[in-house]
Amino acid sequence: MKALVFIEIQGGEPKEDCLGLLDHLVARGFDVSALLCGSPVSAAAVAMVAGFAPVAVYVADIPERSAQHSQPHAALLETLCREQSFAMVAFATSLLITDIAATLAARLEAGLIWGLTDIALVNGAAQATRASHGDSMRTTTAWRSPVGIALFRPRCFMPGEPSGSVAEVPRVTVEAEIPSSSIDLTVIATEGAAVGSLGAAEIVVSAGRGIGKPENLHLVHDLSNALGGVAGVSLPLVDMGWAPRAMQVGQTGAVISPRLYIACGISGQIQHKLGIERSGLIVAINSDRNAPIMGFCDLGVVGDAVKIVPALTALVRQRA
Amino acid sequence: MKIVVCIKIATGAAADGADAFLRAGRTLPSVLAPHDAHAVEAAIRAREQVGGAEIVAMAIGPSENLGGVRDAIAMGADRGVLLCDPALEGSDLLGTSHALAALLRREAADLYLYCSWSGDIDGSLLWAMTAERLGLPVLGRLRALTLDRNYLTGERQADRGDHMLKASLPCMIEVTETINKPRYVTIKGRQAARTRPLQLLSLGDIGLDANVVGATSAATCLIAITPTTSTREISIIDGDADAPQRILDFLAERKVFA
Repeated sequence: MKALVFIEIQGGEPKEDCLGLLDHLVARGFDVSALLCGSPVSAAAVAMVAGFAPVAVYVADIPERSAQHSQPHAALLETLCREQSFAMVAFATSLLITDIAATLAARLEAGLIWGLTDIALVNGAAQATRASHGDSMRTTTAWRSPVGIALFRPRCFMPGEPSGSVAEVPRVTVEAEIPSSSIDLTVIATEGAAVGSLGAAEIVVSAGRGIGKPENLHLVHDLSNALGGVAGVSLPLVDMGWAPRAMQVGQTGAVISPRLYIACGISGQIQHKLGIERSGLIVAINSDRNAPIMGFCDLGVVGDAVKIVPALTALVRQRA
Repeated sequence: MKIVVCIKIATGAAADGADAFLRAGRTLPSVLAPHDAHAVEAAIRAREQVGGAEIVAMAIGPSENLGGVRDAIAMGADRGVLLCDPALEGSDLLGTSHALAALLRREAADLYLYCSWSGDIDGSLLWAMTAERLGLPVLGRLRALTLDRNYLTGERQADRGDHMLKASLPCMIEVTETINKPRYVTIKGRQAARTRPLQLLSLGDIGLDANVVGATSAATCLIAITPTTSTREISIIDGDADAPQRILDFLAERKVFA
């Protein structure tokens, strides 16, 4: 099956999970090509992609002002899909990709399935696996439209060692009319987006909405200090301005794998789960027994984090 | 100025929407879901910013959803519209976006507003698809919004840094649940809601061919659903007075302090 993987570029380099997706589709027996868009795309980036042995690497120049906009990318992808008759377009999910994939689906009337964790060819047709029902079920799905759009979970696949012969992969420049977006977009750098200390910490204690108010945040700092760990927060607390971005644990913040993770008043929405699921032990303290996090922890404590956390901190300190 | 706020888009869902079943079951269909209340609140605050606008609350789904639309009116919307047609059952995102686009096109509003359930991206996908069909710019995942007479500005968290956005009207925006704290529905609001118009529409009313929606025209299909097994051995305990000690014992047993 002829497939196209969109390689998103971040900081001048192809994103790792896009390369991982390319690598995975090649291994699964798809005839995979890759598309890189940039202003311009560097030869090093093309070589890096070619190393994963795609059938071809398509390269398109997209003006810098359009780099974060979905419309120009969707227009380009539509042209390429129609010209090259791809039966599958695969993406690794991100903020930009969500809009691009949806726009392309509407333009091509192509079925779109998201949240994918795997894909396979069964008798020449693609079948994809997604986690559904808050991750408690595994759903096998397929496409009925001439073009299928597959949206994989972020960081779903990481690339192996590049094995292809870079020189043998043809590089094709895409010529297409690229519309500019009517939206003005300015990127504001935020402090600490790289999140150094969280990523390396062996123990992380995080707070979510269940902590009640910003004044209670010291409770997780106290517990993490007592345990010799680092404190984090879930996305809503950053959005509400209770904590800096540098403290955010989750898909769009720090993706971590500490030896111990303690979630205090965090329900465990999918974007948070993706950030912590590779942790060693997970302890969840939440007042809702049915919260998603109770389905992917080792110890779930159904109760008020505001009461339990300080009592636990006192016990940990006594122990030392 | 006219603002359309979309709530409760529930079509019974095809293969790609298996999660929607869970969500529909999580809240009573007859009341406004928590994330929808944020969208209605955002619409009311936008109206306050420009000093007056008509707010239309729109929903798609079975007639039980009228309760949610009534709640939106009680919060402050001027009128409500529910698209209710058995032919929508089993639509996938493509089909649902056809119905939503046809529904929104009739209103020719200046601003279309929606708040997705934060647990998944299907709402963002549906909204962006619909925007493409209507030829409108779409601003997703806004955590702040300011409306002016001819344009709006918004702010969102991006993969790296934050995005400050500006677009001319008409425009479609998706807000996140952290954008505001919804006001409570008052008894006075409920009384006022009884006198405001509530319209029930079918596919025929919005001039949409039933062949582009529903399970038979869905571009995706479901092959199998199987339960997943957690790789963790999960223990759930009550958070009573003994809980801190039990957590400590658990950590000691798993050699956290070793």
